[in-house]
Amino acid sequence: MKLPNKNNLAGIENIRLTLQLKKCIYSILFIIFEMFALNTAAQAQLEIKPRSDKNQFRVGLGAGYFQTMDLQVSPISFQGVRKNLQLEYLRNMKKGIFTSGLNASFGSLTPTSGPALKFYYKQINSDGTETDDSRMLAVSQVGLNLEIGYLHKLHTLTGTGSAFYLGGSLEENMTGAPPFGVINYASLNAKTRFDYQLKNGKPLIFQISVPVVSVITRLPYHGIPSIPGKSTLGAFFTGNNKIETLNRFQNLRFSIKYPVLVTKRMAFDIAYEASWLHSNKPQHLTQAGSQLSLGLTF
Amino acid sequence: MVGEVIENTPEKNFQSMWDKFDSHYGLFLVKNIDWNAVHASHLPLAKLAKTDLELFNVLTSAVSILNDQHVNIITTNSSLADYNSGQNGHFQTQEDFLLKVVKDNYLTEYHEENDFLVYGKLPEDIGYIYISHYGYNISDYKKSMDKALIALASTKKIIFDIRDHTGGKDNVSKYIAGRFATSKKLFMTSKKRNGPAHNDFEAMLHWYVEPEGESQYTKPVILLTTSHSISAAETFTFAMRVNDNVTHMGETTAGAFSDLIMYQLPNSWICTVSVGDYRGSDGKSYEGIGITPHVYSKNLKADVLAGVDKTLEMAINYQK
Repeated sequence: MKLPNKNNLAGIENIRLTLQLKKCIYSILFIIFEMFALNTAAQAQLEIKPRSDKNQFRVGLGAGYFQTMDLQVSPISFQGVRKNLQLEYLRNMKKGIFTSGLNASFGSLTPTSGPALKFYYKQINSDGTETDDSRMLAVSQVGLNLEIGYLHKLHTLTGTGSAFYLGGSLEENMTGAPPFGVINYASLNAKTRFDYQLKNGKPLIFQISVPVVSVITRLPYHGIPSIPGKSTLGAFFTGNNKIETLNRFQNLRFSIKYPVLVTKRMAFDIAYEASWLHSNKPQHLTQAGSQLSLGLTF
Repeated sequence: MVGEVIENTPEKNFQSMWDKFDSHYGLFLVKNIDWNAVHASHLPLAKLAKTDLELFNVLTSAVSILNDQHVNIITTNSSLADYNSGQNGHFQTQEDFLLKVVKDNYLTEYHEENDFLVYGKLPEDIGYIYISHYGYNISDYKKSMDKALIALASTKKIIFDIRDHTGGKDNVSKYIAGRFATSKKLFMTSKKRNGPAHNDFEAMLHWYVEPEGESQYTKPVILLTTSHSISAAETFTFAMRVNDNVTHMGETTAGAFSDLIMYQLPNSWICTVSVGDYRGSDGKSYEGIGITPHVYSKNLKADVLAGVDKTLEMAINYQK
């Protein structure tokens, strides 16, 4: 690709290419919009309404990009694609929704910059010769999250079917990237949900979650928990639990969910979630993620 | 998105490594190290460094003063490879012990329980246990030790061989030594850094060996070590030596007891840092010194290559 402003001819060529590209993007967007409009119109004609059973189960599969930096072990940021499995149970009640969910995630990490994590070793033999060796350092992030909550319906917009909820949840999460850091948090979250009823009768569900108070467990200052007679996990949870509020632990999550296809017995949805987590003790740990998931509710 | 990226320059790499040791290394006071002087003498050299080799020379020169086999610099550069502070260079290949020699020329019965534990019988009704590391979960060792000790219960003594033991978890050291204990005894204390000052340590932990498992082997035990027996092999040696039935034979251990952490530098290289101050039950630090055996013996390379293990023969014939 040519660089703009290198010379006039190249600049003109670039402007022409940019205009063509924009035209192409607009055409694609127009086609998508038309397909979406036709689809929603057809669905509206069929009068398919979203499921509103009292008990709902959802199974979801997601994949997304994430970055993390843990200054306790490295000043380098790492990135990866994280896959996850979501299991949810919802109970629709007269004045609100009870929610519970289990989310397991897994993703391998590579540095965002610099060389691959291949490390070299040598051993010296008594005759002066050397034996070479090398090892790849594989870093994977594994996470498990359990959450139960209640969202109380505060307001329904008359005639639109749209509703606003406010509530909270209790959440337990453990995320580790051996041989790098581990974080466990048990949080009391404030949550809000807004269901926006589209013209096709389907809701667009927005959710935001923020922890109010959390018990954070991270590796101790020295980085290696070990106590006589206790397992490594037992030592990790001994003396390293700190109660933190928003000033020392932030975990903001935003999601938007849209049911793509709804039948009488089940619904398929697509969801987008963005998250940002930060803990500053004993040293800064930051994780940011952006993911898409597909779910089946029955 | 997740944090400020530190510039990858020789100066920043040196500063990053120096800072990590300054805030986390547990043996400045034990070894009487003036780490600020290291900064003053090496920072100007780091600023002048232009190549990987020049940076490597500055970093390795800085940590050489620590004389600590748990301090390493491991690079992503194949020609530089790694550096060990205690060795002041690369590790030496071990040439004074080969398990194959024991297996082929001495053991009359041989059971390879898993990839870390071997047990069997030697002539004259002597039991033999070999363990290569304590890196797995303690439950793995419990099962294996149960099997080994049941099989060797009737022997008149056991030779416990950790001559190429690479370390692992101190809780495994404590548990296995407990399989040979008759009473509860202090074998070690440890404390680890918990703040930026060189004397910032969390509360001292007291490590006791005490009878573990369903049965204990209380007949004579000879523990074999070499200078390659390191880390948890040495905390195990501490623990075994407080048992009255144990005789320690072989070479002085490596002299690197503390837990260590790894830390990555901005250029992706890794350094490892000893974060603790570990002492024997006598209150003394053996870091950089090692534990001297009750009975000294060192195999020669030529003997080992010829299939002879003189230290093992001494252990077989040893009468207390």
